[in-house]
Amino acid sequence: MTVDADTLVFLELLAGVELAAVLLLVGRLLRGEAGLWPWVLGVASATIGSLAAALGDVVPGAALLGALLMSLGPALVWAGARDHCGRSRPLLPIFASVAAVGGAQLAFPGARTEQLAVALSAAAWSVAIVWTLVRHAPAHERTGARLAAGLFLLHGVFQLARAFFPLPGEAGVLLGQRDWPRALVAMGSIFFSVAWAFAVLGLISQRLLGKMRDAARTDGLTGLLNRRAFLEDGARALEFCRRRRRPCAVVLADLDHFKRLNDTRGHAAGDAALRAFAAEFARAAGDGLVQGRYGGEEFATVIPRADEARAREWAEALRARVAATADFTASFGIAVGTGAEIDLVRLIARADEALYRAKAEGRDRVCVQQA
Amino acid sequence: MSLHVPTIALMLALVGVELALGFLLVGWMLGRQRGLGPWAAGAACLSIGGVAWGLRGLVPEVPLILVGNGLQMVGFCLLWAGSRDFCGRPRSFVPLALGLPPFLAGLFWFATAVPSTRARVIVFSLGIAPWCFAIAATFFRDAPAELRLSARIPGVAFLFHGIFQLVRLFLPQEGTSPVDLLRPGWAQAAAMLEIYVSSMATMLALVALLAHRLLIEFAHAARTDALTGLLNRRAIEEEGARAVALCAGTRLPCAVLVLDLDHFKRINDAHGHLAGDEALRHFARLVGPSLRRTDVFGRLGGEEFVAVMPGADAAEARGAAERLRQLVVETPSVVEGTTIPLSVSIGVAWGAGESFDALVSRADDALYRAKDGGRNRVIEAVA
Repeated sequence: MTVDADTLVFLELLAGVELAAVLLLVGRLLRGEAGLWPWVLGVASATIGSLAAALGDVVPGAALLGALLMSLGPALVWAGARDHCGRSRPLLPIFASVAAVGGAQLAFPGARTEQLAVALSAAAWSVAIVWTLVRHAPAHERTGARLAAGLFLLHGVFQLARAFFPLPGEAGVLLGQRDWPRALVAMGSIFFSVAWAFAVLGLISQRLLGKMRDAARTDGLTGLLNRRAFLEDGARALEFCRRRRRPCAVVLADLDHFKRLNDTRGHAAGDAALRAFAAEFARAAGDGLVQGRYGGEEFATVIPRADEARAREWAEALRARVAATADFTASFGIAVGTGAEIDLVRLIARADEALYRAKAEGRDRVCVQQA
Repeated sequence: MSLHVPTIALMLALVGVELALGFLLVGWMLGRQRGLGPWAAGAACLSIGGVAWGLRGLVPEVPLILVGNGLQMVGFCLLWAGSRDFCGRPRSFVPLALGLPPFLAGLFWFATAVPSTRARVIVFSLGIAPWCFAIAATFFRDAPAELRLSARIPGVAFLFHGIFQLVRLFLPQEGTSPVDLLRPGWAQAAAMLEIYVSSMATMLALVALLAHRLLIEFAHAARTDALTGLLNRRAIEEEGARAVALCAGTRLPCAVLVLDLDHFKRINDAHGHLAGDEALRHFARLVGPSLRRTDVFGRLGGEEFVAVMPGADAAEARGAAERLRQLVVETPSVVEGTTIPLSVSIGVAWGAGESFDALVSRADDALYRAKDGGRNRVIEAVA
């Protein structure tokens, strides 16, 4: 079967323009999503770049512009990936890469330079994108990030191969068809622009899905798990300990004199105190810890595999830090379950009794409820 | 510039497969989403249909024609079904059951008894166009209000595809054997380019629509209390402040009620937290509908709720609070056959020109006095 390179280039441009248009529309709809604009602009830049490059023989300067835009595209996609993963995106490497491609083109004008520079910079950026997605994607988005990373890896390999494609008319062209490199590049470009569009939409959708699930599970004020989510996750952690016959501790923490704080200094001060405590609380997170806001000023933790001594140590450290840094104190109640009889509701009730004792004994202390 | 039709056919098949794969992967990443399953299945059918088209001349032609085109119709039907799902409308496969046999019979007839490519193109276009129009109509008419704009993108894409199917009826066709379909000719090239462009546009627009729905659902979830479905604390603070400011601007009075379920901890301890949660939901179901449509009602946290009543003066606010208190006492929560009596203490504050925070704070003070005074009562704030 023979294919026609001109037709493929035409299809490539058609796909590029269309995808850029769709992504721009999507950008309007989903504005505010991290990474979206660099991604959209990156795909658009690569498209316009290949359009300009295609006009290189006709319009003076178009080849250079095309090369610059084609090298800018993957760099912007990298910036989008950094944004998406919550990392900074330095502009310097982007400028440097575009400048290097432009400089090479000016120093050694010619189709070979353009091909080498554009392909190598695209390959390098693809590797950078893969690195960002694999290293920095949030844990719960790993699946989608890995898929996208695989795609960009493929793109990098393709670009690397492309750098050494023979130029049209050069000796060593294989397969008896002069145009195969051009045809292959166009086909690759179509394939990758469609795939990029899916990758961008997929990653953003996955992010939104996660945010939506979080919104239903977290407490708006403190960002900790809300009561229901805490009970779900806590029960799961307890089940884990129960099956392995390990102890498991529940720590309840309660801000001292919170009502008085609220009454005398207002709700805003009360909220600030809750947030400050939640921040300390979250900083004390550790391996497998489940932490949530259990009620008004009450916070709860499940510490898997912790015996009484470890739980007491954890709570005591937190208590001391709060007492030292904040203008309020907190009381703690601990209950430890062992063996097969671990039940979250029962443990919370026992920790609550210990907490009550801590309050009765003068607050700002840790009490343990013995089984 | 002359286009090489077999090249377009090849890319059509490749891109079709890629679109279907992309859709399946995105679908797999997102899990269960209304509309996604049928869409992904439809995309897969269409891509197999496209590959079948590319195999012409290599495989016996009659079964290929029937399978390839039949899958196209099944694919569009699935896209339609997914769109109905997406828009929350009922769907049925009766139209497919009615449409597919005559469609296949027509193709079979014009492939064997009276071989004619032109006739088959007509059968194909007439069989596919209605589905495109049905999908477009679903998106234009039945899309949820907040997605109306983004649903227009796939709507327009499908409408365009349907119209092109009809336009194609009037384009010149060459030859009678299927292999002729791959001969150069602008009509063929145009038809394939159209499919190439619309398949990309429709598939990406559908994924974008899914993403947009997720965005809207997220915005909604971020404002909703997961347990009761009421406004959550952040949302009630925004909405309440807006309502109060609106009243202040129009010199209307505005009342704020802070409601707190009595002895909630006791319910939790005695009946378990599931019963406590159910009591909160019960309370929300009870109070929400008995407020006016313009009132703003939400959960501040724990067992504390707030209602903002724009335009309500002292007497109205007091009356409403008293009515709510009685309603709650008279309607206990029932969990698994156990009746749990409830009561509520309510602090009421009203004023004109006061800020939302100030009103809530005064209502809160009144609420504490209601609690101190023995609970199950309405106390008005001192001015």
